[in-house]
Amino acid sequence: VISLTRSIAFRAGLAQAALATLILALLAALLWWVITDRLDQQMEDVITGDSRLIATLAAQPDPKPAIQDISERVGSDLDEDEILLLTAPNFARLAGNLPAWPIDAPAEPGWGTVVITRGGIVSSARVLYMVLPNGRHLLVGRDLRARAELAEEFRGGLIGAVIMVLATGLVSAWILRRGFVDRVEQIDAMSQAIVAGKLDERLPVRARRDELDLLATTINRMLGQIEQLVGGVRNVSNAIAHDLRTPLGELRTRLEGLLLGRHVTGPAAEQVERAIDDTDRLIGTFNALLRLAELDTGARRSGFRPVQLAPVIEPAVELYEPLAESRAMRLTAQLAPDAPPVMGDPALLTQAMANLLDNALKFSAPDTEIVVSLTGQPNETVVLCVADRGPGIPDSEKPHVLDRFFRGASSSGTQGVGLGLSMVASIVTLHGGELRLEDNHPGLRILLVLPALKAAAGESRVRPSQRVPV
Amino acid sequence: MKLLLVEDSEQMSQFIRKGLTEAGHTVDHAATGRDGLFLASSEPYDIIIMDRTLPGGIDGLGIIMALRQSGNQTPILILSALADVDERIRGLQAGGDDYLTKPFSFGELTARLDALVRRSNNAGPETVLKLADLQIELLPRRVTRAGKTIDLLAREYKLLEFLMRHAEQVVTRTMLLEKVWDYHFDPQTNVIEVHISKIRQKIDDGFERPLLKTVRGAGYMLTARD
Repeated sequence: VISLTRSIAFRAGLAQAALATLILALLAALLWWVITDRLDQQMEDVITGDSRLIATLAAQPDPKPAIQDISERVGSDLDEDEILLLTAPNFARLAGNLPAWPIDAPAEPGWGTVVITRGGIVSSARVLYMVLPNGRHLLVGRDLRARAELAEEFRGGLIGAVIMVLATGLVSAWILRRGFVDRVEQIDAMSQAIVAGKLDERLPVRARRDELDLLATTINRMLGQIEQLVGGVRNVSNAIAHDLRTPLGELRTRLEGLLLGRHVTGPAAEQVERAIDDTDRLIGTFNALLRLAELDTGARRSGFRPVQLAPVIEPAVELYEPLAESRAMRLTAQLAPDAPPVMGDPALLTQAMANLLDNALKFSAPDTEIVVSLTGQPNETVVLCVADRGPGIPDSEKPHVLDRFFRGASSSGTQGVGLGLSMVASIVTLHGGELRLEDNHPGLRILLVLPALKAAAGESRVRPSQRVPV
Repeated sequence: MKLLLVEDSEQMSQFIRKGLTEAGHTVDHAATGRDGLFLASSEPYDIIIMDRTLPGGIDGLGIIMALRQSGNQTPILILSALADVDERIRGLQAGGDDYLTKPFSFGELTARLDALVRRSNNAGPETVLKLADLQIELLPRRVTRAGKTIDLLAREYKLLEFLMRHAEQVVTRTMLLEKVWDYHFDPQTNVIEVHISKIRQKIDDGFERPLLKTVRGAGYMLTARD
């Protein structure tokens, strides 16, 4: 299962929500700017109008009409939004609903903002300060409480909208993920089965024909083609098996028939025997090629099961040990007891092991050592290494060693047609592993790096692989 | 002994019949599955050699399964061009006693036939295997020759036991690889040869008459005869 943060659907949903929030914020900022600008403009217009009327009255030498007018307008009532204050030239209060000249009032005549305290409530007010011709000071303004309340409501609304956008974004991401990811995981599981060799599997295509169905249809078509190709390879292999191996077999029978009937004797019989040997070598090569072709189709993967490598390596080492001894070589095995099992085919792994030992013995000189080692980390990799002290492989030849029928410069004079390592490489690839060639200073180290079986998946099912009939 | 050969290839059956007849056996031949099943279920045979792909409605495995279901226990050697491990398993599961892939050498065929007939004749479980003065006591896994104890490694013991059970018969390299090591492919080098010579050192060195002989071009034989 893909983690939430790595899911495309979830990330798309999240990105969408983030984008919507951003757009909403921009819109809100624009709206706020337009509305407040308009409100402020209106307020200043009202203040300017009021101030003109009052200023006309207050400009008269007798302050009484102005005081009366101001009292009528606001009295001493502090609840009014309108703010008026008329003072004598020495700033002594004459009339208005402020107790005294505010200390934060503008120093010069003009617009300003003051903090006012009315009935214990602190708020700010927009004010216009005028100095009348007779030296009196007039402050006309409007409380900004209403504007602050509007801002409060606006912010509340905005936060609510953001929460809703985010919530719907997350919910839709989750729904998308459920529908989308379920199907992607279905496709993934099916593809894994196909990779594992079940080439006849197909992805489900629903009647809805959405994008995923389109993808599934294309993948299915691709699979059909792969199956056909693999089938073609198999058919060719079977044709080789039948059309070439059968006559070879008959050739061998004829030759052996000659010897059985004692029709030929002496040097002729010897030649026939050699012809039989040649035929056997040909048959062996065909068998190896067929086996390689079969390995490359990946079909053998369907028979994989948990395999411990030590019980595969030990008998092989035991089989080759006397041969090594007879050539004065030492063959030793260093197998880590805690190496985890792998998912694989014990018969094929045994064959790989035998080919590696064949190879190491073929190229080693007397009085040298061949070391087989097995190491591994749980849940990571298992490494099987065969190290010899032979001539090694020059760097220039390394890329070709795994090619079919490749025989290096140092292999002249030895037996074999050069399929042994190709076979090992194919077996390792089939097991999802990697074959590495390293310098042993001097000699060659061949490493088979295989993926370890996940502990939870197979620990209880692992049995020694040795006694299985193959 | 009396054999039934079920094989559709003209050349192959001629070759096998000729070889076996010359070796003194009686060979009946069926070229189709139908004839094969008929002969196998109506006549008593010591052993049946069975090809897998056959004309005549029923293939080799079908015949084997039909015979086994009707209680016929005649040893059957499957002879097939289908060399795959899975095919081998399928053949043995169907009731075949041994599986030999084509192309094969005649020596391999006769060695396996001998081994199969011998196995089916050995009824009760044995406790001691004897050949001349060589003796294996199976339960304590003790090997002696002329009363002298011979120390063998576990695998050497298994190899000698197999040779003893097939004493006086040719045992091929491939048979040893299959039955003693459970390996079903041919290693490129002759690894078996060295194992044999190690055993030979242990059981024959210092004794007047060698028991373990190499049969040229075929395999090995543990024999008291000269």
